[in-house]
Order: sequence, then C-alpha cells, then structure tokens
Amino acid sequence: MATTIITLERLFSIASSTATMGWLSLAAGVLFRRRALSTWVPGIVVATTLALIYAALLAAYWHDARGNFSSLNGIGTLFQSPGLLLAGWIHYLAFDLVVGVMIVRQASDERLPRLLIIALLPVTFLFGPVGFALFQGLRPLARIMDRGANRIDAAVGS
Amino acid sequence: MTAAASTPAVEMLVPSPGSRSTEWVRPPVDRGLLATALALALLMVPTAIAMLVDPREFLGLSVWVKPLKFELSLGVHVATLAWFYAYLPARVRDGWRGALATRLMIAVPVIELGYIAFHASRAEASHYNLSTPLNTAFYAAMGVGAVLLVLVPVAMGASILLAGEKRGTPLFRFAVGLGLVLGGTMGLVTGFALGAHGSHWVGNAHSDAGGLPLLGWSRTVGDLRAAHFLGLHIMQALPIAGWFLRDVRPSWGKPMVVTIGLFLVSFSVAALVEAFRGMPFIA
Repeated sequence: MATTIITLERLFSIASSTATMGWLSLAAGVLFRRRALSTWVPGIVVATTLALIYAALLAAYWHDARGNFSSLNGIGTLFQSPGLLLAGWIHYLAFDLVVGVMIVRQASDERLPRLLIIALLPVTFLFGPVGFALFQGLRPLARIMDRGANRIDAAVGS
Repeated sequence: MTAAASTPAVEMLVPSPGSRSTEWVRPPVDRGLLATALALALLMVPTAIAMLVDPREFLGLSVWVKPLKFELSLGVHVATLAWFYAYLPARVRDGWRGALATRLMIAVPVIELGYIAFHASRAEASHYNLSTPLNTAFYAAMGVGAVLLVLVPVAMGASILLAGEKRGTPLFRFAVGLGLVLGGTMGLVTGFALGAHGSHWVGNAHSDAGGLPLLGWSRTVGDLRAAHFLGLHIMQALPIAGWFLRDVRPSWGKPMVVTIGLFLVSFSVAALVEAFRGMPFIA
C-alpha cells in the first residue's frame, strides 16, 4: 500500500493556514475599506481553494464511507475515516468563511458600524452560527440606533 | 519585385487577405465547445490534488492518473473542434447537423470522463471492465460514445473539405478538413484495435509503472495506446503544418499537405503494427 505525496496532517495545516489568511484578509478589508481584500480574496480565492481541496478529498475517500447521515451514530462512523474527517473540517472552514464574507457584504450595504463587524468576525471564525445569529440580531438594533440619531437631529432642528 | 516574381519559388507564395487577419490571434470558436474544453482542463486541478492525497494505485500508478490524462486529452479534443467548427459551411453550422454535433461533443466527453473518474475513485478498471453485467453494459455504451467522439470530426472534416466556410486561407482550410478526416479515421481504427484486443498491452504486462513518463506506455511489451495517440493527434498536427504552409499556392500546397498527412497516418499505422508484434514504442 503506497503512501500519499501529501499526508492528511500536512493538508490539514495547509487548509487551516489558508482559512486563517482568508479571515485576516476579510478583517483587513473591513478595517482599511478595500473591496478586493474583503470580497475577492476570501470569498473567491480562498473559498474556491478550500472547495477544490474538499472535492479532491471526497473523490479520494468517498469509497471509505462506512456510516450514513441518518443518525448521530451514523455520522460518527462516517468521520472515522481520517480523509472524510478532514473533508468535513474543510467544509466547515470554507463555509464559515463564506458566511463571514456575506456578513461583511451585507453590513457594508446597510452601512453598519465597522467596529461592530470587526468584533463579530472572530466570533464567526470560532463559533460560526453564533456569529451569524449575533449579526442577524444586531442588524435591526443598529438600524434603530440610526433612526434614533435622525430623530434627535430633527428635534434640535439643525 | 517584378524580376523576382518570375522564379517558381516566389510564385508559390500568394499573399492572401486571410493570412493577415486577426483571426489567427483570436479565432472564432463555438462557445459551448470552448466552455466544455475549459471545464475539462480545469478539472485537472482537483484531480491533481486527489492524486496527492490518495494512496491507492491501479496497475502500478495512482488511481487518478487516468482521469488526469483523459481530462487533458478530451479538453484538447473538444478545444480543437471548438475552433474548427467555424470552418464548417454556415448551413451546416446553423442547421440540425451543427446543433447535433455540438451537443454530442459536449455531452459525450463529460459522460466518458464521469465513467472513467467514477471507476478510478473506486480503484477499478473503466475500460475493459466486464466484472458485472452492469459494468459490461456501461463499457459497451462507452464504446459507442468513443466512436461518436471520432466520427463527428470525420463528418466535420468532410464537410469542410467539400464546402467549407471561406475563413483563413484555402490551404489552411484544406489542412483542417483533411486533418479532421485522417485524425478521426485513424482514431477510429486504433480505437477498434484497442477494443478488440481486450487490453492496451500486447504481451505479458500488468503494470503501467515502468512505462514512459506522463504517457505510461509500456517500454517492455507492445502498447496500442501509442498508435491511438499518434492517429488522433493528426487532427492537430496536420492543421499546424497547414498553418506554416498557409500562404502557399494551393496547387503546390495541397499535394504537400496530403503528403504530410499520409506520412502521419503511416507513423500511426507503423506504431500499430509494431505494438501488435509485441514491441514497445520506445524501449
């Protein structure tokens, strides 16, 4: 049985570093207001790279699939194959990053405060859906704050 | 200039308007076929990654070598047809024959590659796979597809030779049409040889591991794939020759192109004969 040219552990490091660089680019894009860094690099380059690695792992290891998606136990069995486990992890990395890009894009469209978004990015990086839920919750609050400011200005009459 | 024009060598060359047009730099291509060719080529990226992470082997090489080779060769094949499609007469291109040809040349390579990649991902044979009735049926269907892959170029070449669109120069058009006809025909002949023989080796071999780099052809026994490669690539080689000769007057140039074409065919036939005698293409 031959060995692989890149080991799964090595590929894990490569994928993790790539994802981290995507997040750093996203944050830099928000901080310095550069669309290329906040949309193109993480959303297209990094996400596609991770997607290609994921596709390759699936092609190489789907024959190893022993479990199924119909029970928690089934999923546990599926992830006993290290190749499929890495694929699952990369799926996770890729899509959390895509959600981060979408949050930034929507926040930019709605002109939400940049500091708020930068604070949300690590939460989305580490706890995916929590970051997403926080963003959905904070969006209307930010808009209320915005309208409140307008009303005060109107009362002062300036 | 007038004094020099009387020598036969200079009379051979005819500066024709087509040779200076921009179409050499940006040829008109069929978009569907071009997109398919690019997609096939781009698939080489995840396939190469799979090759790096998958430890399994088939016939001595990584299971992903064969899909990689077919992604490249099918990409080249479809890209060739994408470009030469513009040389078909307009009524063929715009009629049912053009629609059928393009649809076949998009669907068949994709299905063939899907079949090859599916079996590769299971470390099984794709060609010659007779292990179960279902696999046998699929292999037969793939054979039909392969025949279509080479017959469509023959039909295109014939149509171009008979009434091709006035594009490029007359000699280049001739080389394109003849290249498609000869390349498709030799592809068919060598393909039948491969199918009928039941294996790409002629002789006692079980592994591609010691073969030529990239191509994998055996260096110890006969390998029918060499003749298949040489035959099929006439449809690129002859037009390339035709491009270098594009400004030559057809009365001189056509015999030259025909000669080159016959030479290329004989090269493929020689490789076929050599393989059937059990001799490797390159030892």
